[in-house]
Amino acid sequence: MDDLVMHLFRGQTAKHTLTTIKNWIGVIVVTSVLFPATLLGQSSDLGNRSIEYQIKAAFIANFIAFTQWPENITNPITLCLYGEDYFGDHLDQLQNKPKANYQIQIQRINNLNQVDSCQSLFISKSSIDQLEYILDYLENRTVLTIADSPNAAKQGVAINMDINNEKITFEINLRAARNANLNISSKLLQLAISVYQ
Amino acid sequence: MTLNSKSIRALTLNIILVLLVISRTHDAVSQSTKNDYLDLSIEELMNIKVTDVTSVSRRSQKLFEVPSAVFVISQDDIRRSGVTSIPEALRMAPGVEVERIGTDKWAISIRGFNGRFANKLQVLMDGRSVYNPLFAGVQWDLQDTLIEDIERIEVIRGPAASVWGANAVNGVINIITKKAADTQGTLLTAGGGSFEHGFVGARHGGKINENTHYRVYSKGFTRDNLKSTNGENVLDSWHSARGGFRLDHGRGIDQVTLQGDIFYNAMGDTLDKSLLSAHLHGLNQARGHSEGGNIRLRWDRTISDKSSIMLQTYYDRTDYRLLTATMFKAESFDIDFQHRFPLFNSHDLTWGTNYRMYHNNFYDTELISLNPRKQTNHLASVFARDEITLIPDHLRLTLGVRLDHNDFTGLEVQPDARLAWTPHPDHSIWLSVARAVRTPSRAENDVLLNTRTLDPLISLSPLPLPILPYIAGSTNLNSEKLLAYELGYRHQFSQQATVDIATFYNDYSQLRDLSAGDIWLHSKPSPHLMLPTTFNNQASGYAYGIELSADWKPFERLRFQGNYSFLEMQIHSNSIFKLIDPTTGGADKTSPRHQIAFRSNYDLSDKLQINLWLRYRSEIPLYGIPDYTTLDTKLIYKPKRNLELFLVGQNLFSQNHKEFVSDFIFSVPTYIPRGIYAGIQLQF
Repeated sequence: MDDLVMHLFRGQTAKHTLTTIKNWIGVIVVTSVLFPATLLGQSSDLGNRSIEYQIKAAFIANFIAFTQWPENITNPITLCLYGEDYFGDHLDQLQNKPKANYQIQIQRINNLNQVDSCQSLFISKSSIDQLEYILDYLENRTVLTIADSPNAAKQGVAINMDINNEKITFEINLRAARNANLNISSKLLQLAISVYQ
Repeated sequence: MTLNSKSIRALTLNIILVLLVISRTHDAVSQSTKNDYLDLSIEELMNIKVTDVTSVSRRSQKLFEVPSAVFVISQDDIRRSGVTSIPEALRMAPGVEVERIGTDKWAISIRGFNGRFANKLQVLMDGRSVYNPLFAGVQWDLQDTLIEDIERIEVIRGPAASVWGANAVNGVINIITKKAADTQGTLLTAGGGSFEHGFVGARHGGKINENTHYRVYSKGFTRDNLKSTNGENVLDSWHSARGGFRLDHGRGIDQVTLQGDIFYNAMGDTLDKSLLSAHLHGLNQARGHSEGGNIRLRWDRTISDKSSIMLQTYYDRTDYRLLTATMFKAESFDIDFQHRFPLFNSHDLTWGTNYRMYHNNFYDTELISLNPRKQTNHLASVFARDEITLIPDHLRLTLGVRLDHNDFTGLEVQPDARLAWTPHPDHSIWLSVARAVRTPSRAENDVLLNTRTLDPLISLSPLPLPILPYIAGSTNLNSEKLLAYELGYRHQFSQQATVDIATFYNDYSQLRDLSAGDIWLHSKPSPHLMLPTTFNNQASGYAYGIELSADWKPFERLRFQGNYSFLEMQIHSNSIFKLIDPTTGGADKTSPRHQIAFRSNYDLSDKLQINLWLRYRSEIPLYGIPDYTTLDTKLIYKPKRNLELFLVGQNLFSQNHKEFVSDFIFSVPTYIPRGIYAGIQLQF
């Protein structure tokens, strides 16, 4: 890494020589040396530590808090994440923040047969093409489905987030929630931009 | 050169050290990655903006993470500022020079080289380039839309040629309108006042089905004549009518947009021909009109969060007629493809290809003629860009290159390298090295332009006769080159307060200069000497500067934004023309060294908002224009949720002030007056 920074700075000092293409070849050579390092150096987590997912995590905490859970569901509520994790550690932070008396526990799953322990399931954008299969699998289970992909609520996800006018909005599929034996508070229904019956 | 490389290096290292110290000390006191949003209510969460910018990499990126100097002017900024046009809105961004020349004429540039035909700035409206290759510049009077439908204006300072291609040398301005789904319902607005004589606007948005939204709009305005610095009316009143539509259709992972506009402008000018070559005659006053339109089709397929395809095509045409000065017809057609995909775990790749065709037809006037009159030019390019995550969450390297092929200079290679370091989620530091070129315009190749006599030329004259230069284009002109070094720092003190600092050093070579030929005697109507001049690429120069901007929202109802820009330039060029060539030789004297802006938005209650905007600009030495300070205000009263009444005061500090002088086309210099207007806006 240091090599590259130094190279860029040398470029800044000897700017007259930089005008030649040679120096760009230099940059490319230095980078190609870095490539293997970056490939070996780290696994997964591209870490989109974006404000967007930070806010989405906070929304999810509210969705869980404003859902009326059946009597037989006890604290903590397990929130499962299916597919690629764009949240980084923002989702994990929900575990320390009980909202409206609901303690949240996070579990990342990569197979649907692990879903038995989940009371809520966030379906990542990366898995949305399997949505039909996922919803079939969840039929008659008490699981609050949440997603952030266009049209997901219409296709049967209980709560779906989107970005409108640079702000996060959400829509609710009431029938999907009721089929999962869940009631969504009127407050959420009022704030949703659309509610599918 | 006054600034040697040692001092630059020392400065750069100092800045880095200071930033390191700042980031370390901050680390010690704050916790690692606390999610402050968890404490907010759901209503509060719904009001937080997830501001993305797309101009830097041609895909959405968080503003904080962008390794370039970027400023975003939001719809809320525009609404609260009281501006009625896109050029006036650009005054809100740091590092941007906006000078009004006449009612419908502006000189706009970024980081120097300002002029009526400022040629080192790329401007796009919804992805459609509005840079005019005929004379290498943007005609700001033709760029407009319903101001309420603008979602945001992204302003990039510094080169972005590896993404946007040639002529994105000193910056890029990307005007982005709202999606049709965000403009549902009806909006009506009308008003008028002193300089803004009157305006009306109407928009209706609806949906054809769940997946298809549309809007249609129309607007019109009339703006007053200005007065020359001698107190005469320059008859440049401007009447404009415009209409357009947008249709968005989404189906699964596909999104299709069809958009179009048509417009008609009537405008005028008074030319100062007393200084022009003696064989010119005719009226000094010109009235004319322009009309045109564009249509754009775009298809996006979002395969996943990091994988997408985009295909866009547009057609644009303009007929412009302002006799006796200029008359042309211009058309452009463009097709653009881009593909983004992840590679291994750490590479985020985007590549694309573009073809553009320009066709224009120039009609000779006594002032300007082009030979050949008609020409078709082709531009083909391919670009690739790789964003490499070196250390997840902390260090990213972006490498990009764009190859452009144009009819004038052939192949142009424009690479850049950018490094973004985020030691802590609240601090980010970026640095970049980039190369960009400004390709010669058709006018620079083909023009014959009568220009003016000026004192500095008298020494050239062997006889006691007036000497009149004229400019003939040169067909072996090369591109102007820039090598730019930038360093920036952003800090988020809290959700409510941010600062952004950017510094740059621009090294220009092969700048377009003028050279003189042999003087000859012209006997009609009275004996005078003619001085032929032509273009070459022998000038060079440098510019450096710093731009600071800060945004602070101490309370929900109160927001302050401030910015400061400093610019220093030095041009080495042919000394004979230094004072009469504002485009190159005199460019180091056409830009202000200091610019300051301060805005405050205060919501006194849910119904009453008061907005202030204070600006200072230092002097423009080449034209002897003094510095000025001025104030704009907008008072908004909302008696009902869907009704807004407003009162706007513009340039309140003085009756008149001078901003700039038109170059090449010698419009009479004008005063920019104080203006007051009131209006109403209804939404249902």
